[in-house]
Amino acid sequence: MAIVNSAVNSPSAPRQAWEALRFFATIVVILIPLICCFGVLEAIAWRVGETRSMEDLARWQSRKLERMWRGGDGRSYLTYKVARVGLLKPQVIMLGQSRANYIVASMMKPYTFYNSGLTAWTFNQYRRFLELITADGYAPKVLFFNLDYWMFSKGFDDYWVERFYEKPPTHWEDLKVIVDELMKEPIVLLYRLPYANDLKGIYAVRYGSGFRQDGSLDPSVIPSNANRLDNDGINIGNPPTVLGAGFDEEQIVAFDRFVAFAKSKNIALIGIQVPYYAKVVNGLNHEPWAGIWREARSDSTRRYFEGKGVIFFDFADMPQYRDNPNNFVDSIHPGPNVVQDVMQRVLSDPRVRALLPNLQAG
Amino acid sequence: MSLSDPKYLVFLAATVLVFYLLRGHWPRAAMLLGASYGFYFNLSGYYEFVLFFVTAVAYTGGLLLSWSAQAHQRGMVFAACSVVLLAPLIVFKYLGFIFGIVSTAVGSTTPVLMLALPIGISFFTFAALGYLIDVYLEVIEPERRPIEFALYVAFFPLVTAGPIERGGHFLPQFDFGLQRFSSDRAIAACRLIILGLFLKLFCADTLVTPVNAIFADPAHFVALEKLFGLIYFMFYIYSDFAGYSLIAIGSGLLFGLEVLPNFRQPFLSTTVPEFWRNWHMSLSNWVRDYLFTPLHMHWRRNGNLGLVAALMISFLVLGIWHGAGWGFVLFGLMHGLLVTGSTLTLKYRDALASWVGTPQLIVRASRIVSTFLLVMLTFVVYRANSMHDAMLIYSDIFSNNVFRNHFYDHDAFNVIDIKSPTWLVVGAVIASYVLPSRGVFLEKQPIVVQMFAYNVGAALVLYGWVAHTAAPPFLYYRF
Repeated sequence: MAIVNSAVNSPSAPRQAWEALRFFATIVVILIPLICCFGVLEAIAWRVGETRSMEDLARWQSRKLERMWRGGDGRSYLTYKVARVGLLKPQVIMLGQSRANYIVASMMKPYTFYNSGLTAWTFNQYRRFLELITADGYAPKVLFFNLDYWMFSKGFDDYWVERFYEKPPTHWEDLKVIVDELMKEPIVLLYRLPYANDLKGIYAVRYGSGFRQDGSLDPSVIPSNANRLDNDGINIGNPPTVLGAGFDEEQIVAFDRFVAFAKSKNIALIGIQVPYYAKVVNGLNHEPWAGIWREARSDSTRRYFEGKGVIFFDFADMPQYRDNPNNFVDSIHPGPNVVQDVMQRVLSDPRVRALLPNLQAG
Repeated sequence: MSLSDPKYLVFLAATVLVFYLLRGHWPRAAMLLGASYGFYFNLSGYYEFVLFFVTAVAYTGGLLLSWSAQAHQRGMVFAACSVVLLAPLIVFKYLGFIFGIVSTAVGSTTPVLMLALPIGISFFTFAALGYLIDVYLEVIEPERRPIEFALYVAFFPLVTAGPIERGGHFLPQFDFGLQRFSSDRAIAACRLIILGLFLKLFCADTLVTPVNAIFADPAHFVALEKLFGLIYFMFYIYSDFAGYSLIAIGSGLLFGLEVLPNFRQPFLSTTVPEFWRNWHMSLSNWVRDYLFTPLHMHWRRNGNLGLVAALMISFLVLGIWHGAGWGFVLFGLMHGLLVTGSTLTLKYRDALASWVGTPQLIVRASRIVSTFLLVMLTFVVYRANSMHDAMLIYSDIFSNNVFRNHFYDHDAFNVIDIKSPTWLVVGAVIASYVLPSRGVFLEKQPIVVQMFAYNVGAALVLYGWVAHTAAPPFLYYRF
């Protein structure tokens, strides 16, 4: 390879400056197509809402009831919902994973409510979520949360640590989401762009559904196939429906720390274990290694929760819904009708009424 | 930061800017040396003392050799300096392996101490040792300027992964007072860097997924998938290493420094010896010049026996240079045997082809394919996590299993899907070195073609950067 070594005899500064200018100009001219493509990509990303800040999107969603948001990367849900909570400062919050999805604001009227489902999976993450939202002095009056048996299993945190991202995606990661989508199905995304007025986030734009203004998820249509849940990939022993001899000490400590933090902020805690489909219930009931399941449902555990000041509602096994697949999205996700009934029962409870005396529901 | 990190480009740009803003040789040399040591400290922390130690020993050794008049004295100085120079490499890289062998031999169960390896120690040690050998053989005069010599060993684009420079080639270029910024030279350098980043970030990073999966758990893949995985591995290692070398060469060119090439269309080689003349050239030439040639000269009276011995020793050293493990020993020995066999039989094979009347094109094509396959098979022991895994791969691909059509379900990818982007990448890598070998150079194409190539290449590099630094997205599925 020959060197192009243009050592000159009279090395004047203007000559060097001219060479540098020529170099940069050449680079820019050669890369003009890329720069233009970049501009288009930025425009698409802005239209889809992936590159807008979470605070900006939180304000955007508040301006119209029908607006929905759902980003392409599930790890962005936490930062988005923390931004929404920061803006709304609701009196009541529902916290948890996907089993929290269908609890809606209308159930909590006249109290302001936000559903922060799909943001936290473990007690440590619950505590951290509260730390994030109370950093500015705000605190909800009541926190409903998923309190599922598996959260007390040994090593449960390891399965979900990758999902809890406190930092929003970087601008480059946001652009990569758009590029990936354009590489996969460019026509679909470009076709859907005109519908992005009230839909933001690549998932919402792409599929037309997402988190509503109250944070709840647009409910899925439950297919009518009766055998659907037998092969839905949820099996006893695999996360999240893990097995174990009993409650793990580390998880009990994590739970205690979460409760203690909530108490320090005067947040009342109400834990709910929403129903499972028969496959899960029957499987756990007959599984010798499901001591953790039996411990979670025992009177001693109920007394333990009460001693900690946590109101616990265990609807894991509801015979009126359990055996009918039409009541479940999948084996661990009850449908909106079931959740509605569960919340009706919860909100009718005198202990809850004492905390939320003006509730219209229940 | 590695050379493929975007932070490296920022560092490089800043260093180039300061270099050309400074006037005169000494400020520029000192700045480059400071930047190089800062770069190395960022990578290896306080192991920088190893770099300094090797530099000091080689520099002092060169001066001592110049002051030693008698041959006997020169020999003693050279031997002593070489041993001291190689000591850090042996301690950090091979001592654990040696202790492991001894422990196994005596039946000891004492855990073997493994030291963390200073980054690039094999490269800069060989650069320093090569200089010392050249001074001893009086090929070059010793470098008396300490800053320039230290820069020769520590020059930041080369210090971590070469190419391994030669004192006689690199040191004379250190006359920075004369260097002027040249737009043409800078564009040529950027061309090399973009190509290097494309090979490293796009090609290598695409191929690494199936390669790592197959070598991590070869039992989970059928024979045909293992075979395809080997092919991917060859293109992966070429893309990764050649890409890195191109970035280093382009970086050097920005300062007006010509760096030795490291790869020259190696997969178009018609024999294994030719492969080594075109693969990791800076290392293979080093072994040829400083080990093979002296040994062969010393044993030339033993005819072919001397040649075989020199070749086997040279390739054994070349093998263990790559790593401390039986896999690398075997890698070296296998190549020693292949090179020996090829060298001794080439004229007979040529004669046979001529006698049979095989067209040259067929001879050449078949030799290219067979050389590629032979080399590919040797890289099994190079890459496999254990000898057991290597044997598993060999036994599977050399059995009837290669014709089985039952495949395991691999969620992440389909190894042999001909429509997958993996083959596009393999094609891109092949094009990147076949086209120049045919005289098709990008810079000689119409401007529209060049612009298209550079823009696509830059876009893929940017995508590769983000994909490399961004955590894979969590596409919420169900829970």
